Amino acid sequence: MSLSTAGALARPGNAVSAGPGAAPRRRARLPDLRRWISPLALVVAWQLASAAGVLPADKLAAPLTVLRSAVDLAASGELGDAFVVSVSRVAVGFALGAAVGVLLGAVAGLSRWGEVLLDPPVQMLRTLPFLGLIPLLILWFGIGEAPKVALVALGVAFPLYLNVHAGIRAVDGRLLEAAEVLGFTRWERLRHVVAPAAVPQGLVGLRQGLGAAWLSLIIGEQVNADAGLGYLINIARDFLRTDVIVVGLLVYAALGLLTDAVVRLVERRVLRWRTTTRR
Amino acid sequence: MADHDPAVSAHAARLRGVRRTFAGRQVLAGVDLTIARGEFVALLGRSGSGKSTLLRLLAGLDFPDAHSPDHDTPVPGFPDRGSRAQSSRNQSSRNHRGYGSARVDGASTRVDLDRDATDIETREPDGEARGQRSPTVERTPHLTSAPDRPGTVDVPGRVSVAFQDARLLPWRRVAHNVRLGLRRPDADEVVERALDEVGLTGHRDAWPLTLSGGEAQRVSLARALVREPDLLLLDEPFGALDALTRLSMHRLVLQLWQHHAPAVLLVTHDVDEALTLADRVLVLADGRIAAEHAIPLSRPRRRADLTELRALVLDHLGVSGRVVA
Repeated sequence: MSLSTAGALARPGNAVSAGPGAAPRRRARLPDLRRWISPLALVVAWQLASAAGVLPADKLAAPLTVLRSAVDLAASGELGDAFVVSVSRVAVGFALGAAVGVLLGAVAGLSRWGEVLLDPPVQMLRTLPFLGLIPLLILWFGIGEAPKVALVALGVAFPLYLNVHAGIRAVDGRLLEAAEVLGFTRWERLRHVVAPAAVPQGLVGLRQGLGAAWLSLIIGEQVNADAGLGYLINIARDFLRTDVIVVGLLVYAALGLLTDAVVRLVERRVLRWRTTTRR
Repeated sequence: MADHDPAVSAHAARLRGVRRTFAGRQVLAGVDLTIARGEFVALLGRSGSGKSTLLRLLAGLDFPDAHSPDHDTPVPGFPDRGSRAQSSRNQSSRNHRGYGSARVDGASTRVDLDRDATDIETREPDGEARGQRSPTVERTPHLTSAPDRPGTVDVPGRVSVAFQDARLLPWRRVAHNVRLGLRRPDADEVVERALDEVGLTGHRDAWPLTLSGGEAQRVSLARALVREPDLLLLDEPFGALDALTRLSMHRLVLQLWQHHAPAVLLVTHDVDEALTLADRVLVLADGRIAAEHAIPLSRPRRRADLTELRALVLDHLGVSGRVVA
């Protein structure tokens, strides 16, 4: 620990000696540990406030209590079951929404007629607050898994549609012209010019879509769920178990962070041609 | 087809009375130009003189205005070509992403204009068949039936272009950029050889964004050469390079030209570049070829031998050469 702190503090000197190519990478590997000081202080303050009775347990449980009930819930299998249910809702909803969003975005981006026919209704529907559709979704799909999955799918489909569409439309016309002169076939033009050009924007849509997916899940699970993290939280509310509520919220947060990290990893891999450092 | 076999044709390109109008402004007002096979021609002109328009016509990226009605006779297989091309023209001049492609298909000629740049759905209804045909034929922007008719662009052989802004696909590595679209069994070897020729073997796996301007242009040249063009179009390819890099690029281009023997049309606004490299220098002004000078000097050329010609050409370009020199 102290070793890496020393490394971080010594960074400016290292960067100069290592040359311009090595500096950014080194910076990424060594997180600045000083940034942990204030979050940890807040948690300690929270714990002290709970212990002193300033924060009653029926308003907000102490961090240590939260930790203990997290361990208990995990050990009993309750947390694991809820986790699996919630994650599979997001997975199915995301897969459906992403498939529809990317497909429609590609059609609207690649074909003039596709754009003329698809874009107006999609833009109109987009202005509806999709979370407000819950009552309708319940009337359509009942109160089982379907309305929750549908809500996630809706949340994912719109940002992906918009970004894939925009990404394809923004393809550099000069590159298409070069492809024309080089005698690319339609498939080559799509695969080597249009699709790669649309990827950066598409990944922006992916991140937005994932954010919307978790949000949709949380809202959807607040409404008459009989399993999953939202169900866990609702039951805990009835019993004033604020510790369990906090555990549920932390799991949501961790899942959101995890998927975002995965997308960033994919981004770094797929967009590695964007390096501007010379060899 | 036989009279358009590049092996039989005496010329690499021939334009007869070619006009091109953009939104009411006539950029080319009847250009006559013949480029012999293997000839190195430089085209000079001020900004906006129509140099690039002419090059795009030769590359098949654009099409001349329909010729005047008194010459208009029906074209077999495409009777209403004139009116169609005209209406498409308005579209593409309004919309800079306008797209056109011409295809010569046996006796019938079809001109497909007015397509959205990314519109793959309607762009090539028969893309399968297109892939099987020789690229020489499918991109040749002329009318089989009447190559000599006024208003036609006749390019019988294969055409390659090196653009000013190299236009490499940034998401494909250097060697892949050169290879893409190349349909021949020994493509990999050909690509390796070409990269070797332009001195970039060590960069075959580099990303284009990591290349310098000169390196990117050399990749662009390699990409043009592996297609074994009969006509190599160079659209101010050295314009964005520093003076020293430009000199070494000149040497490289001459070397490649002597080795591969394509006809070259170099579009440039650099008089010295044109005089150093070309067999013949053309000056484009007011939409026509305003002057033409053959340069029967051997290469490499000494600047001193070119002084007089330089002044003359600068005069044609509306710059008093004697004051500058």
